[in-house]
Amino acid sequence: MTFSANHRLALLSAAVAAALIAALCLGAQDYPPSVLLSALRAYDPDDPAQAIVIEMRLPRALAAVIVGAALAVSGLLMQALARNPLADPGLTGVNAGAALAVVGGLWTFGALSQGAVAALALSGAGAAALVVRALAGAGDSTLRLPLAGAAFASLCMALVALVVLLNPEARNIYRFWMVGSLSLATGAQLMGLAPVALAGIALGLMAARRIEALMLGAELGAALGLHPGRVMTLGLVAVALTAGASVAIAGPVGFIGLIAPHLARLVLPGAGLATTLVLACPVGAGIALLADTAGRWLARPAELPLGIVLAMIGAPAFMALVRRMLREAR
Amino acid sequence: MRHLLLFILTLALAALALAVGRNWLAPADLLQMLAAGPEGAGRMIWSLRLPRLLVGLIAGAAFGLAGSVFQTLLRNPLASPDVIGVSQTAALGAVLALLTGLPVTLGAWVGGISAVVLLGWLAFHPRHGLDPRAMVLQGLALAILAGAATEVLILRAGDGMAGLAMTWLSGTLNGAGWPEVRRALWLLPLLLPLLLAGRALDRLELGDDLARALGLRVGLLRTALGLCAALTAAGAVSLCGPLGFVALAAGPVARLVARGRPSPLAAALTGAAFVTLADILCRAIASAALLPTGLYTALIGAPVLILAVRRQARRDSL
Amino acid sequence: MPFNVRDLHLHLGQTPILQGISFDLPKRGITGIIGTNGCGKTTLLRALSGILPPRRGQVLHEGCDIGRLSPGDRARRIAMLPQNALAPPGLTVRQLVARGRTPWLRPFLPMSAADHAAVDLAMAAVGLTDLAPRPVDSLSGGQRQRAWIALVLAQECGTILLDEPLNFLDLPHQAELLHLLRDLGRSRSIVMILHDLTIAARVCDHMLALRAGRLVAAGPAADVLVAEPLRATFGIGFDCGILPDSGKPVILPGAL
Repeated sequence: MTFSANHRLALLSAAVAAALIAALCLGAQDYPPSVLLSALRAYDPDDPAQAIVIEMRLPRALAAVIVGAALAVSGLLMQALARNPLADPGLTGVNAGAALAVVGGLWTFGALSQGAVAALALSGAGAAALVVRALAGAGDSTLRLPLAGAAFASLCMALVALVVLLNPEARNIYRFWMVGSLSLATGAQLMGLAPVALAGIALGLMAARRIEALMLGAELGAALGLHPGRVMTLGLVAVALTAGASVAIAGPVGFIGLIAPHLARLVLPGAGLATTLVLACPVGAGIALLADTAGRWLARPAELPLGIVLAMIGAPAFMALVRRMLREAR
Repeated sequence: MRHLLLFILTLALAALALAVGRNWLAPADLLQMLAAGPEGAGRMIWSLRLPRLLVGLIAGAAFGLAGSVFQTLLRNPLASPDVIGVSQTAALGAVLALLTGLPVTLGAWVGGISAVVLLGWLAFHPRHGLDPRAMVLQGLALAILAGAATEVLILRAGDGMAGLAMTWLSGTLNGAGWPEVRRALWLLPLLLPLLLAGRALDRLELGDDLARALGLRVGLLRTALGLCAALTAAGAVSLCGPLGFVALAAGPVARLVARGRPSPLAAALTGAAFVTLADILCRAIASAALLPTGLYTALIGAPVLILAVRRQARRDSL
Repeated sequence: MPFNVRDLHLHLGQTPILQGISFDLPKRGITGIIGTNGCGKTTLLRALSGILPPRRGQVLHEGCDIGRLSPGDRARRIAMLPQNALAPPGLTVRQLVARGRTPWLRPFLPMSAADHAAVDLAMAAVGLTDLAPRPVDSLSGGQRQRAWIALVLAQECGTILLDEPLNFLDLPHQAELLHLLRDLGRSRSIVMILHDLTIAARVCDHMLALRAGRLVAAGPAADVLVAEPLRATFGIGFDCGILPDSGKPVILPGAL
């Protein structure tokens, strides 16, 4: 079946809207959309149904949207910078750096507040991105970047394993953080971290054109007036901001950064990097919303963490998709 | 020749591994103990250190080989058995076994084989054989799936079990005795074709068309080597946990030794040397806490890989 | 004079590649660079484009030291097509050619009508207008090369540097491209590396001959493309003749 571009965009919008409504209405208790409508028209804080929808699910849905969009954008940028469809924002070491910072904090200070964990995660992510950038070296570092990132990430994770093995309390807290969940973030943290994510997305949009030109090769890029090292740094800062904000909100969540870019390109194949970046936001947001809702609904009254749901449902779906594409090719 | 130097280095590390531990041995004592045989005076060497060394050497060579072959076949320096999910699925099997009281090695082996079978089925194109891009994409998804399942198991487990599981997941040679060596020997028939594939891999790097023009059966070669490497990786993980970093790092280091050409022999030696060195540090340093070997492979491997990257950076700028 | 080069020394790492090169190039016309493999032709081109800074010496473009210009300014004056450019998979011809407008685009604004016109003009000049929406990887080698040329044309610079642009082109397409370059050479300066001396003799106005990083001959084509300078450049003898009917030159290695 072939859909026109307009059809596909409409489909995407409808899907995201449906995901949002589902996120607000479904969960440990299902509420009909009418509850949502009345809450939006005239919010009555004493109505328990409305209270849950507005005060608990709405912030959480917002967190899902931010995390999903941020991860999708960071994945897209990373794949463009590394010229490698395998590239994942984790290759900049952000997740590993965040984990190390969090675990280091737990080891030093014992128990930590949610806010402290988020702050540590963000700074760890940022520091890691800087280190990896420096390690990859100047000039055309496209091929060296993922290797440097992988090496640094492994180093960090080894140190994390070290701390976790020696310190049972840290281990217990880390076990829950490492899976990735949207229940970790409070409203205050969201307010603080959302601008970081947005800044990263905006930076990515600004740098998109230059990153695209860089994909032609460092030499031609330089001949077209770019400074390859600077463009790469700019792109990496954008990745660090988006991926860092996301890991600070929800812990290390995989899969979206890897898959959402490919899906976004399916919506408008052949679109430029900037357009695909804009598309990646709703795609990522939709995936995150669906996964989080599924986690809250399928295991109710308990919940499955976001990272687990993404892996359990998303991965097989993706595998089926790739298999279908393989069969259809040539 | 550089390969010879690498071989001598590996031998030296092996000897050192036998000498180091809670009791450090002088060379004369070491030789005496080796000569004394498994009973009596030589017991420490023969029943503890020697089997551990052998398992480490074989597993390290296996990881190094699997990693470098994947990197060449998939034309991607990031490719390693980790990336295509074999390590994670083997790990899942191992953790499952650990938590249900079954032998860990069996669990890992079953997990690894399942991954290979699944990937083979998912990535197989009726006409072109194993499609490397599909294998990688499917493998990534599989890695995420298996990783998440493992995390769930660790989440649900009690604290003691969680600690054990996480230790195994870091990669460890603890408890490697002669039964493990026997199991490791089963890996050798898999390693042989990979070791001999140096010339084929070199030609494959020229591109499929030119390789075919040079007489290679590209589709068959890809499928055979890919399966072999995946099974090797699965076997290696079942021996000592996912030392995936060895697989990632051995390839670039081996290329440095072999002046840029793919060299399975160098990769095997690098992997073996790597694991042995890590184990030496493991037993020499924190002999009380006995931290897992896998930590050391990452702690020394990461800087090595980073140095290799910097070296490449300088070469690129010429 | 678009290019004045004074005592250019260029090193890659510690290795000296270009030594003591000085020449002047005219404002218009086609300049060919010839020399054996590895003699530094590509490095010289990179130095002219400003990508590689010299260890010693100066490269002046229309009186300005290009080392002092910003990359954007340089890119608006001098265009270069290297040998090893990569086309990201899935890119269409039009999108590839549009990349050539990069130095002219304003920071956040989309491409203007003028930009689009430049892209259309460039594609028409190389005859790829019909193939504009096709992905670059689906084109033949020759078509792809023309797409890269169009990218450089879209950059609309007064000076164009080309590193072996005739590779992969069949003879009719080579002829077409050379016609195009000759037309362009009336209003701009084109510097290109090439191997075919007959073509050089027929198309180039000016020649630079390199050997082992040094300039062994520089000047009008008629002065450089004769026996002695060629022997000094390549180390072998050449037959330089004129075709009886057309009066056009032919140059081939004497040993053939």
